[in-house]
Amino acid sequence: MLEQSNLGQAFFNSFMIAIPATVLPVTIGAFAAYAFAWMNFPGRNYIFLALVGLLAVPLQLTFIPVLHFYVQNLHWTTDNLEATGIPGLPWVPLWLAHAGYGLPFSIYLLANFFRALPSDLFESAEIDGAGTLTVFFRLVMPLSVPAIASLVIFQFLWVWNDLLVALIYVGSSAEVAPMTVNLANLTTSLGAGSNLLTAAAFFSMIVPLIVFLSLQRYFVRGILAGSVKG
Amino acid sequence: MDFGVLLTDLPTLVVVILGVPALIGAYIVGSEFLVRRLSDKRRPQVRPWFWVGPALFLVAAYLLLPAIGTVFQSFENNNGNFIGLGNYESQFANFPTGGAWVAIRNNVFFWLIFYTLFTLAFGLILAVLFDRVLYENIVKSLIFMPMAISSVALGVIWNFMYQYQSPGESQLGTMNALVTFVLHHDPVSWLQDQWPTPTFNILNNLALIGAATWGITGFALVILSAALKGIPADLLEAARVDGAGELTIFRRVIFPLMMPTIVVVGTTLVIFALKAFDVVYVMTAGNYGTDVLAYRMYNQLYTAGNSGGASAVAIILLIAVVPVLIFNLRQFRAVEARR
Repeated sequence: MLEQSNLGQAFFNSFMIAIPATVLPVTIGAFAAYAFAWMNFPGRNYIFLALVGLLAVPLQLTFIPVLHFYVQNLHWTTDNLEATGIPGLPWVPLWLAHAGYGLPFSIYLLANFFRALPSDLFESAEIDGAGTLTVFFRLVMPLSVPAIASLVIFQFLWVWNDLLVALIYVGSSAEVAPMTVNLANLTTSLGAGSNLLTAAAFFSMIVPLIVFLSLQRYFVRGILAGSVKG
Repeated sequence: MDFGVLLTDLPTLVVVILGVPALIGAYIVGSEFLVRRLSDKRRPQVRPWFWVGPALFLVAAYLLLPAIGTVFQSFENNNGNFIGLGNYESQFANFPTGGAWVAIRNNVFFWLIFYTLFTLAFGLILAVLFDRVLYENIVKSLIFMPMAISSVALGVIWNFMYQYQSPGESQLGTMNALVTFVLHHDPVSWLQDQWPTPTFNILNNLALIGAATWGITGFALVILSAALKGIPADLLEAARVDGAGELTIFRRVIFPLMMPTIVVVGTTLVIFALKAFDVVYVMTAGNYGTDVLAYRMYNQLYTAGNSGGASAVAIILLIAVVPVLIFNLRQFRAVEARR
């Protein structure tokens, strides 16, 4: 029975969606947060304020134009992307969307953390002749492990548990749809198959529960960082 | 179960796990290489834009521009012709049951009030009651755990809780087992019963909100409990020495001191309430008068094929969120000013 419902494929898809959709906003967000915290450029404070405003904007507001652009202008339908045969390509629209939606929170959290690092650190590094990349990867990153860890957990769980975004962008095809879509389909299509449903629900919960139980400390810290996620 | 796919689809696995980080790394190293070739004076002017560039591009492409696009689209019909307020007229038609009214009522009234209040109340009560209890951390972990699972799984769990069998049969749902066994009342079909009246169906909406509250209480609990631990012990000590009872201390000392945190948690919950989708999608599909704005938008877009109407619903949602948005920005500015 479980084979019929494509559970293994959906489980795999969930990972293939969640991993890049976590890596992208965290790394790109870290670059941007570093610039917001320790570089000077015109309009810096206003752009940051705009990002804070975007934290509260409902994602629902963005789906229709993005979907329209994907289908009409880029021809990025799941079928087209699968036809190219390039591995991973069918998920690119979803990765980028999750990255865009996750970035305001990721920048907000990391910039606040980076800003709190002592400025002497950067001055002495500069005197020693360290380049921007060295400062970022050898100094800022190792010092920010707690903040980055909590952000990674947050984003990973958010993407793993997301139904709406996946439903909108890849909802119709079982080859790329994640666990949550699969599970939601089971609830509506198999009225009497509660044995199957519970098994599928258990599988969808097991990964986040493992992540949560093993990294609880960071998870709570991420929440306490004061957050409004769009 | 076919977990063979985890191994057979190796190229995908490699591309996804190694390719994406490699691409990002190449970008930042490459851009730094380019920046180094500039003159000393130009370097600090150009470098920040390489660092914020990808982020600003993605945020603009996926949040800012589409949001603006939706505003325009809400004034157009499906062929892209301008029709003024036509979409809004059809969404606001036939008060109180037609158009988007049911969804608006549920979101702005039931969800906003009950979801926020229940979660804050439970979070606050649990935070205060379990403070300084020996097994506090275990309790917190347990209450927090639903935060980790998806709302879809939450909906599946609560569908079983609310299951209904006809009177006389043995009840499989926990809620109905309680109702029949303890209260000797006929079983209630929690998700379908539009008690008290179909135009003001509190019961099934509260059933959905209850399920959602179960999932989010841990969030409120963790933040409120951290705020509670931040209250200086000598303040409470002083109040006790002055002979204040524990209830008075809670009302006059703890509660006012926690107010800023309660406000922050409250605004976050208001946004969650307005954006509710998954629970409704899984448990009732918006039937029986339980529609919400996010679900109605999805429905208009996919089932009715009405992108103009869907945009209008999204804008209604945005208007509901705007006060919170302004409030957040003011809070942020106030915090920045204190730095």
